Amino acid sequence: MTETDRTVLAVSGVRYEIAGRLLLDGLDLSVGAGESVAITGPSGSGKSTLLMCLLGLVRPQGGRITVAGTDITRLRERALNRHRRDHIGVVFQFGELLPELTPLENTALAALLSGTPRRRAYADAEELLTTLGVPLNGTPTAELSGGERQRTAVARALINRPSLVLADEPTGALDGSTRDEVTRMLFSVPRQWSCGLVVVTHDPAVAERADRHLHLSQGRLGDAGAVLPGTGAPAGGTAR
Amino acid sequence: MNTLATYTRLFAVGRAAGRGSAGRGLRFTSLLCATFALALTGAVLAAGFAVYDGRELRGSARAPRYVGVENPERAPLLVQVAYDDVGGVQRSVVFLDPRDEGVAPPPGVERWPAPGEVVLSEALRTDLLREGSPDRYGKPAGSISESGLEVPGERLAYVRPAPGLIDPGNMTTAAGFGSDERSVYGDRATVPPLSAFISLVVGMLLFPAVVLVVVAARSGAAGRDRRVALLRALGAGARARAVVNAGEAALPVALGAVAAAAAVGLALPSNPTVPVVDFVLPAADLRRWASLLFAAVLAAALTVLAAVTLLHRTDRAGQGARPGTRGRFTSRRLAWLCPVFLVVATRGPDLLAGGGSLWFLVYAAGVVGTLATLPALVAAAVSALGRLLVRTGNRYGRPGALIAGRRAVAQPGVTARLVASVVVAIGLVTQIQLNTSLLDDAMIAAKATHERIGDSMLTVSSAADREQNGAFLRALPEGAHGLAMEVAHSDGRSLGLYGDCAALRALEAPCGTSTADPADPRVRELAAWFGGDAADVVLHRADPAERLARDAERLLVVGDSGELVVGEVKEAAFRELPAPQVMVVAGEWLFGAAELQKPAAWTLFLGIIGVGLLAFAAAANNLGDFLRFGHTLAPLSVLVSRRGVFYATAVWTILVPLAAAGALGVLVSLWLAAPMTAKGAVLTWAFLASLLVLAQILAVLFWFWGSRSAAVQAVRWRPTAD
Repeated sequence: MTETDRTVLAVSGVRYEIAGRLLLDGLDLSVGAGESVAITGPSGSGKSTLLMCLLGLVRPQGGRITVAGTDITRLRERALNRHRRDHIGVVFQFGELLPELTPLENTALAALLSGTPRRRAYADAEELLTTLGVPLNGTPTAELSGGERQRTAVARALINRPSLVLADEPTGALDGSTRDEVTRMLFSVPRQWSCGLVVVTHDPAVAERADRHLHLSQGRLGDAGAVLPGTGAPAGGTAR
Repeated sequence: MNTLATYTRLFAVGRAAGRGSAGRGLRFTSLLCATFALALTGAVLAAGFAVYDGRELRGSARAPRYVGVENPERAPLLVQVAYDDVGGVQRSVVFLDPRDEGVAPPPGVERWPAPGEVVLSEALRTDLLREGSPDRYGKPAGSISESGLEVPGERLAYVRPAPGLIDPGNMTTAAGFGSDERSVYGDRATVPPLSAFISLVVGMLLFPAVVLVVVAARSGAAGRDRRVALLRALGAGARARAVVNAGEAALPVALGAVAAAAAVGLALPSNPTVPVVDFVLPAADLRRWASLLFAAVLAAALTVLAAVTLLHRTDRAGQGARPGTRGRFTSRRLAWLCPVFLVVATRGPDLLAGGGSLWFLVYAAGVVGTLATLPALVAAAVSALGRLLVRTGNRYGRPGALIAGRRAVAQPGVTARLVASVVVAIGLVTQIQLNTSLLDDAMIAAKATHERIGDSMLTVSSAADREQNGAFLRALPEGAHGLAMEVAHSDGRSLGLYGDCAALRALEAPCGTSTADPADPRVRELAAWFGGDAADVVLHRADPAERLARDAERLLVVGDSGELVVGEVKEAAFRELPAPQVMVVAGEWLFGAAELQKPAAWTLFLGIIGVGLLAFAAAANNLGDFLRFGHTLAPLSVLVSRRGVFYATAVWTILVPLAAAGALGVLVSLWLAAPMTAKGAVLTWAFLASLLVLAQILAVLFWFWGSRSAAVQAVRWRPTAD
């Protein structure tokens, strides 16, 4: 069995309606470990709503969302929180890091808050940041470059060894060259850490680097041009 | 759409904006509390005018209308004002002898008491009952009603002397009551002027209330500043922007004003008592000035709305909401100067012999310097403790300590402002309280005398003749004896005491002429107060009444067995002597010291409220900053589902700093107070304890409020990139 055969996210028939608007209409999506999926769509198409449903912050009115083998739509609050903590990492548009803390502390903090022992939290954070090329010289995060901040955000998303990483416009606040560098690093994450990656973005150039590029329109995901996992070659398949 | 409809719509827009803004709870509560505090302060100021005006009215109505009469025996009314110590404070006892049937009794007195009868105010009656001598001035014959008292709690007695005790030569002639000038008697002598009260309220209440208004108006300012900038960009004029902002603040301001108005309304029907100082407000005065009281509440509400609409920085919108933290709060030089000033304040005066203005100047310079440089020292300490917290947080894996420590290092000014404002406020109020209670040298000596000999010796002065003095000596309670005291004015170095054998034995002297034992503390105090320190006290066997009729100046009463029953001696004096004054040795100075207690109590009471308001303002300011920070931490806390991190962080950013500020404030105040307390100023422990407890309560409340608000804010947080 290859890495991508292990499904880390399975969404089926998810429906979400708000104020008379049907944002998600029987949406299906499947992401395997080591696989990256980019989702694009016009503003207001429901990308953020989908992201919140995947995070368990919004409960859909229908359908199932299975993360790491557990249907999170059926979980109670406490169990949902624990499952999210253990299996999901998130990278935000603006990093959402604490500016006064060093990158090491920002990364270790997520592990400490998840109950990881101190030594392991700091050792894992150091290893991740070194791998991702973030300097460990004690500089406050506020003084890092935009690219370094997003690398730190990725390290923080990975610190608890999640099965699934969600990225919400991860390059939206970066300039051209930094954007390319972060995009390259981000899409290397699934294979390097054996997790699934779902990137929500407006930027087609970023989306094209994903293993699969899906388009959200009228509450459903459609294939926006698939590529074979890891090759970048067109596959011509449809959204699973 | 007409103009009114437009403004109504804009007002509604503001209200909706207020409901949806971040940090809404903090802003709402701060605005409500600020309006309430400012409105009540306004009402207190108005009440001050009302009460002093009422004092003036009633004081003038009861003032004797003095007239010059050739023969005092033919005057319509004879008046003599005397004083008596009741409850440690000097109270007015007014002797009245109406000689014309047409003269009406003083206001508040229904009918003239009969000779030998007395009319008392309720408060004085209670005090006399507590001292066990309700009949001290004569047979009680009714009460002075409120219309005859400057304030309901005034202690006053009108005595109509028995025929034998009238001394027209020492009484003033009057035609009746009612004059342009207030009466000199009553508690007027011990009440500070209106200007002193106003200064106290302005310093202790108005200033902190205004600080709270500014903090409340600026709380959640970032979002509002952006909104105002947007409205301006859309072409909204100043008036339209003001209406939107007023709409946003209208509800909390209205609720604060209504609460204050309700408090004022509750005070109107019957005399309310001000707690701690135990002062009963005359509701009649408040009712007479009710329109001003409510106008003050309304003016306060309008002031808060004006502050909300005017305190904007649209020019700086978008430059980030982080407060500037460098500069005066972090100046190392100032931080080093603080301990230097502390040493100047506490040790500097010791280097100067005696006291005087130079002593006070050095001390005041030390105190002002210490309080002025303290914020820099606090900021340096916050920074250092922040580094310690970071190390601890990293070493033991404590997220709360780590986050709070990093914030303290990066922005020491945020915490330093909180701590410094509370510490400086406590320090300033303590200094004011110390100065209010500062005794002069004579008062300190009098207190020391009383501590040494207590009530074992009393002095009695009156214009009595030989028979009256004789009757008084016979009426003394068992075990009490009288001695006439005569000061040898020629050399000023000897005191003569004249008494019978029993009186001389009470001073442990033989029955004859002898020099008193200078080791006897009573003799020593007499010599010090009446004869100069080196005076000899010579005892003679003689009839004191006779000596008093010749050269002796006053009568002494001593007891066989230590302490005298003062109440019984006084009863005898008022029964047998015309307008007597009975007091312990150096009693005049003790009265002076006691009179300082009331203003000191007011300072204490208003000071606690003022420090509370300032601490509230400082904590609200800190809380606003914490909530802004909480917004940054929200995404992580949601992802790891750990709201506890807000409570842990707030322990170090709110709870510990505020609690420590209270303790540090008390500690610094105690330290700075030492030279003053050595000079007799009284530092009330209850006052310091109240400030300490207040700071701890506020610390816990704001810690919980901040943590919970940040946690709730985090729960509501959602990724909003789409």
